[in-house]
Amino acid sequence: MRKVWLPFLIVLLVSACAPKVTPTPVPPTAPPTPVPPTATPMPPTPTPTLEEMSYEERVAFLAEKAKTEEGVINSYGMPEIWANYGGIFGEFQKRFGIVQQDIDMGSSVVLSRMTEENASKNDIADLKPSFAAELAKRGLTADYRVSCWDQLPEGQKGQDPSTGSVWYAAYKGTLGWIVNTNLVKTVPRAWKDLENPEYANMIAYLDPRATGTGVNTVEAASYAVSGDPYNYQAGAEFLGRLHKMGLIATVDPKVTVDKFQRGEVGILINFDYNLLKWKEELGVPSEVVIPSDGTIASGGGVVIAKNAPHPYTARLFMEFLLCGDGQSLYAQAFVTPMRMGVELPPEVAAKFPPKEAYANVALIDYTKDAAISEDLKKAWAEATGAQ
Amino acid sequence: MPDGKPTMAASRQIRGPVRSFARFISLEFLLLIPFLVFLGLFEVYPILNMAFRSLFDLEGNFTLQNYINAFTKPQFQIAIRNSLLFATAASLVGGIGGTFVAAVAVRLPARWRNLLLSLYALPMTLSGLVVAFAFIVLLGRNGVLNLLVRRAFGLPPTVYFNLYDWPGIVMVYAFFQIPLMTLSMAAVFENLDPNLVEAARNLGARPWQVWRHVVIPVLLPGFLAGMSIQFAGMMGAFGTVLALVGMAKNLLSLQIYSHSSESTYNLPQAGALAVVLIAITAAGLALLGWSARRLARRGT
Repeated sequence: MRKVWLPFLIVLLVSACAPKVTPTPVPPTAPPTPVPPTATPMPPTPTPTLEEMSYEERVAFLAEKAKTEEGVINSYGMPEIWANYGGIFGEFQKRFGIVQQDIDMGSSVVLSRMTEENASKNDIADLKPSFAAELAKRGLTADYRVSCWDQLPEGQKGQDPSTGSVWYAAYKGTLGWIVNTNLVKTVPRAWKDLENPEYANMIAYLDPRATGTGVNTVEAASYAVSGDPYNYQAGAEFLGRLHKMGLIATVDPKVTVDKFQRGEVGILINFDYNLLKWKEELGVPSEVVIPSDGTIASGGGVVIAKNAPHPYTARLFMEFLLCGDGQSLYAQAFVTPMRMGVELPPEVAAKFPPKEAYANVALIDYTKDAAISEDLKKAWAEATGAQ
Repeated sequence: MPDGKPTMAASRQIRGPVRSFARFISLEFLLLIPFLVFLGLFEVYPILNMAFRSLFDLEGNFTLQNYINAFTKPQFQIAIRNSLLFATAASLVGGIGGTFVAAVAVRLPARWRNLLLSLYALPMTLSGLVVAFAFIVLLGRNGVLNLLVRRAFGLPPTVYFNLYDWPGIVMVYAFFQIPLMTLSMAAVFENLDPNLVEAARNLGARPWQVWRHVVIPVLLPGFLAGMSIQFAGMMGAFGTVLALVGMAKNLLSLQIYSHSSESTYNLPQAGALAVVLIAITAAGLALLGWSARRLARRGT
């Protein structure tokens, strides 16, 4: 009986959150179906000018329009413990009175779920850039270009030529791990150091089948072991060895810090921005390690759903996140912002591991990442399934 | 429901008591309809739908590949093996533990027994998630008990009861399984005729002989019935494992979860695995039921 609770809980959660969104009372000004107010198809509002508006004008315009949209923004995969989303949505709420409702899920789940729902249930989502680009390719993201489009670096944003759908990478970071120094006496400095029976039942990482970070974990291990992040077999086998040695305590399908905080696991693999924040906030005596034998850096993708229930709210948030203070809110919490000209504050930068630690970091190529993701998941499942 | 009408129409042509009987039957049937509709909608239809979809690949072409995968891919083979071993171990622990608790419980005065049994109903109302976290607090690496034992004996933090491996997981499930078994076995013990035991004693049987030749044969059918419930439950066990170790352990139920909702999103494969799970559980139950019947026949 009890093992059906969890799926029930999830279904309940889903159904509790989702229907609240669907029967949106159609705002008088908006068209019956939420057509994106961009320049391209049949503009019902004075949209052609939106393109020409500056950031301030757009925010004022969108904030006004957003007032007719229930005052909520529905997000997928943007929990408060990830990339300072707690702080960002807190500030967004303070400024515009719009409340975030998040359903946390890994990148893979965001991709399949938004595809299944025809991108009509959530407003925005955070998922790994290669999947964000895939959503754009499927025409499931809005064709809205933020006002600071030109200030986002090439390769970290994209508009699909056939569908017009847009994706962004809003921030980036490097994969490493956080070590509870109370629990773990010798801090592992490299991937190869992890292969040590001393770490029995100590290590936790995210499931590559569900999350982008999980895929990145396999890529980082592959890079360390074989010198090529896309040689996923090497990384999968490496992790498989850790499983066989009994070092892996949990493989989580979505991000969680509960067990690390309680001291149940001692080594938690994630991106440095999260690790550094957790080091400050969790109250666990800990150290953040960027593995010396190599790791990967990757962006974090964000998108607006094509058929978002609150289209203006979603666009307002994206302006705030990419062109407004969202970027400096990322920066204040160790998340390297993507927009050019926004730097990490010196006092924040000082808390990072030293520059030398980042000497051996491969930046993920989203096209290559997309090409291997599916096979990587299978290889990982097979290599680690022997438990 | 259309099924009710022909019976009614037919009943008009029949006379007297037969007619009223037919009407009575159809009324009974009408009362059953909500249950049948419920069963059909939420039990039969989903299973059929799932079994049907498991016969197609993601592009919608007919294939048996999902079933071939289930038995040939190492990750699924191991999942099946783990599920069987885990369900057997957890059922045995629950079954044996529960039987002993029940044996003790029935000897208590009625007041205490009722208190114990109602306390025992509690675990079954708790969510698996809650129980998992309760055990982490109690028995995790930094759980209360581990800390106390380490303090008391001055042991290093490397010494701890490991909640995150199979023995730990089986133990957490025992928290559900032992009370469940106790409740079903308490009824069996209450029905055990004390005269039989006394007769055996009078005839000079030693206590273990009484158990071996009298009590166990009488209890065994009930025990096996209880074990079927345990085994069926444990084959699908899922929430607590997920909360404890996430996907780090490989169980059939976790593979299905992973394929259907959390990640790979391969519904046909998940369907095939679920059909395999149902088949294994059904086979296990059939085996237990068959042995219970055989024993019952031998007993009379």
